[in-house]
Amino acid sequence: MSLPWKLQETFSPEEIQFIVENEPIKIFPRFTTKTPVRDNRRGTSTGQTRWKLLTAKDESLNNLVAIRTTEVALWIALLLKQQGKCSIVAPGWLRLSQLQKYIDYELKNTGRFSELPWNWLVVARLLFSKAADDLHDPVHLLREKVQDLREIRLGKIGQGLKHLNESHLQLDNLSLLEINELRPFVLGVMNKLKDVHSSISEEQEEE
Amino acid sequence: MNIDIDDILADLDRDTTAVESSLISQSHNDTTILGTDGPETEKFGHFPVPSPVKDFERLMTSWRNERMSPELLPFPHLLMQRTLRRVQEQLEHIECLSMGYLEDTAGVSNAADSRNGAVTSKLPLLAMEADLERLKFVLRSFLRCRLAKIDKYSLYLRQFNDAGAAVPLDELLSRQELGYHERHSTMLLKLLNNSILRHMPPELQAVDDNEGSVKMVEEPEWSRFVFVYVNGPDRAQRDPDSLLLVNEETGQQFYSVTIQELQEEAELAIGGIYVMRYNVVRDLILDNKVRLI
Repeated sequence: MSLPWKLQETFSPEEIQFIVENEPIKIFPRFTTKTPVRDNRRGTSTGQTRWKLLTAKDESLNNLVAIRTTEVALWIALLLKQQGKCSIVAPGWLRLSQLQKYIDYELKNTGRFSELPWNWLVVARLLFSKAADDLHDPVHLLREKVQDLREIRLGKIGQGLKHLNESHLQLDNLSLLEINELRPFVLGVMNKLKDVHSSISEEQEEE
Repeated sequence: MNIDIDDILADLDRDTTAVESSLISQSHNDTTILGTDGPETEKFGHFPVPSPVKDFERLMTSWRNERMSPELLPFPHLLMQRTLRRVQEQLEHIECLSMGYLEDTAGVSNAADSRNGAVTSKLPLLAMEADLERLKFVLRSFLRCRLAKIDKYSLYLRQFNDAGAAVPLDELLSRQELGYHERHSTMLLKLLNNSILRHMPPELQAVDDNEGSVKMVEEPEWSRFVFVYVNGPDRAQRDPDSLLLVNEETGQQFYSVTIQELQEEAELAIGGIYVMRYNVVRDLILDNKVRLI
């Protein structure tokens, strides 16, 4: 078919990353694109190309001032970082102290997930691999914490799978990547349970 | 004693950005008509075109919904028209810019200063190309997903042509998709007829026979489970939404839905993630109050 079968029920991890890359992130640019007012009479003769984007906001990119924080889409930030044109400001939750708070919360409340952003796993992985030098805390410690969080949450998900039923399920604060890896299994089991259930109730009606 | 002046401050805020807020409300109108995309949309033709970024967000939502829903969703005609035109314009824009580069670099070759400038001014070009590729990827994936569904439900979609169908087929599909559906099902029918069906007794020759022991027309699995995210009404204005209820204990806003098969009520709190049957949340999805994830 026109869509590969493995993509028909779920997203691929690359597509999840694609979705996450559209989110805004803060950067320190290392170059200036804002045209000074006194240059105005020279107009565009300076040879500056304007940014004109379709999928992301471009006003901020046309007004970059070196070392002044700006918000741009994550994929642009990674592109600039690759060229050595900016450094990425790590989001507030990607700190040792903050991650430790999340871990404590996860350990204290066994029944629910902590309020990590929906894209935490993907963002953490991207920043660890592409912008490791911009993080406040040493990367190996951060990695450790993120891995701890991931394992605690995986354990809870494993516990939660006991409650699969034929009506519905509530999974607040589960991140997109975690949902995506659960999806084929959870939906498959719940669909089967639903089929079994509905066939039983049909039989009862016939009697 | 505290005097609550939030509404006064909000009033002041609105005044200073009078132009902007009127734009926002207009684009809001536009989102509400996007869902229907029917003949009444022509009346709104004079509205200013929504910004590319907003449109891209909408495209991402329709792409994700389409990928995860069991049925074929209505085609967003207006949104696609705008996006395709933008892709074309951007393509020409990039081409013009890169032509300019060729002249520039040929003209000045020795000055280190200008070479440095050229490197920084190549960055926007790089980003614009990447940006265009990303947009085109979403478009491609969206359309391919729809084609796969058209293949799957081709017999079911043919029933839409019968009188009395809820949605006319040309609203559900784009013009090109209609053509594809038409020709593909004819070709498939021809193949089946020539290879097998003509050796069958006449009463067994129909491909869309629903009377026999197994139904041959494959309908979407309406009660399949999907992951949903409850994002609530489009904008901050929550008052006009009559479906939205407030939980008396927690004060949280939620939609109340009924699961027919089990005679069960469920609350969809705003900001929550649920696994639900598709037919339960279908109306909320079409109203853009709930997203598939």
